[in-house]
Amino acid sequence: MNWLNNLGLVIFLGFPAIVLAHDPLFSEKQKNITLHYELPKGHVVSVENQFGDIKVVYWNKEVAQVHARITASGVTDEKANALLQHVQIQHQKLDNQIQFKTRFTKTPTPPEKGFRSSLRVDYILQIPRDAELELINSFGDIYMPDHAGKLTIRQKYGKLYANHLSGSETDVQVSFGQVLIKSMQGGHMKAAYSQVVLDEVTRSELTNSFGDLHVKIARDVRGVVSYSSGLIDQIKEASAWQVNYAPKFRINQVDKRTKEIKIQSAYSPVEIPNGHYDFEVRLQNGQFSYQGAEQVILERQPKTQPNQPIRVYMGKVGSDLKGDTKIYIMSKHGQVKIQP
Amino acid sequence: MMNLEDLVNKKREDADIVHPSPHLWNRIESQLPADSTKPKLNWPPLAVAASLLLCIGIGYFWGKNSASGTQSYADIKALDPQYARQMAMYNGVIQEKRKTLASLKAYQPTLYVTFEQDWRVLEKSYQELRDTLPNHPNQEELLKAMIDNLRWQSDLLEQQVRILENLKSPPNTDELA
Repeated sequence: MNWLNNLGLVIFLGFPAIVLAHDPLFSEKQKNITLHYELPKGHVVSVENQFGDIKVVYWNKEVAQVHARITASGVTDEKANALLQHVQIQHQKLDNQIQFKTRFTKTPTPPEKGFRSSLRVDYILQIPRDAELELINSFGDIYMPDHAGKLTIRQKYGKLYANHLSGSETDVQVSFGQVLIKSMQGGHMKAAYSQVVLDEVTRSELTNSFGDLHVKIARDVRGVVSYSSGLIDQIKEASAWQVNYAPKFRINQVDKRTKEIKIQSAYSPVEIPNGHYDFEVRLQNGQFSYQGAEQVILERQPKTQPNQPIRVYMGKVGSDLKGDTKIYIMSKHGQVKIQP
Repeated sequence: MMNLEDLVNKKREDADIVHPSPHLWNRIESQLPADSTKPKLNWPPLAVAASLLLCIGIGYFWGKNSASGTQSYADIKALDPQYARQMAMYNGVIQEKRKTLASLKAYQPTLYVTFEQDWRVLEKSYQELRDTLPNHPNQEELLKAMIDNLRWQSDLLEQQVRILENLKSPPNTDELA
């Protein structure tokens, strides 16, 4: 009877596979659209998309060109084809701007149950390297190469991958997504409900509200972190941070040449590294800890005035007593800790 | 000789035979004061108005809270029951945390207002997604974003509750080292 058992097993395992293999409930259709405009100097190229990616590539023509690939999936060829009709790529040339916009129209009847329909629009944007650029995207990712020109990015529900953004007029806003930027040398980045990783940031303003912020190297950065954890691997030039309601804010290393670091925190624990610097910690309803930290010399501490509303600790960390670095911390309702 | 039980029974039978006089109640009634009728409710009009207002207020807040606390997921259930279940679960957690937060409002009223503004922003984003959902070709992506939003709301409220609870019973502010 062994063969009977084997047959039963084959039927048991094989039947769902046969059914799935013959499932006719899926069809995918594509439509490709290519559009281009000559790009006079000073014109901004603006691309607004949803439910798909935008990839920016450079070429040596003074032309802005988009390839939009529309992909529709449905339970039948007919339905997939019908879905394709719900996308329009609007485009126009204005006085100082060239625009490409994806517009969805809602389907007249509810889509198939079980999510057997989808509509996606992916762009490849070709522009000259120095073009001014505006990218607006939701439910998709943005891939941005090195860029030195003016750049505006508005990204929701997706990821932003960017190389070196060296323009001083870089303005990035991201929410409900992820940000991975190799370097940013000027401008603003404002993120909310996002995981943000910046390898190197110089002369920039950063804001992250809720989520995680990880900066590997910071130079001359003004940062605001709210409800978000903050991890700064290394500070190389003066920086100022405002930290509110953060579960954790930590600086791992401070370069000797850094002049000044200012941290203003509220309802947040703050950790600063064990290195070579002077410090001044002002606490309002908070704690100061340097347990395990070596070479901490306290020059002023509030032992004699325990009931003062603001308690001040001043001192030095490390053996380099002529160091240039000074860390100022004003903490309200939070713990300040020098790492061991 | 009559035992104790018989004696008790006989006395009880004697007592049953003795009935009160039929004129007893009339005599008692004639001795009562003339105005000892049922007490009248004599509320001033302002008290009545205040009571009415209180009832309306309780009804309003109960209705409002129950409406936000038990959102209907019938349309989402029709699309996918699993997403509807997740949303209902997160919504329950969110309502619970909002109640906890509200119970801590008295300790930090100003901070509570800031916190409320923060989660209202998330709530607005959720509503935008909800409004986009009907008949959209990419409903699954929208639903995933809605679930993520609810998770953010839950996490945000959790963090806010933790902050207010810490403020209610702050740790020792002494230097640790």
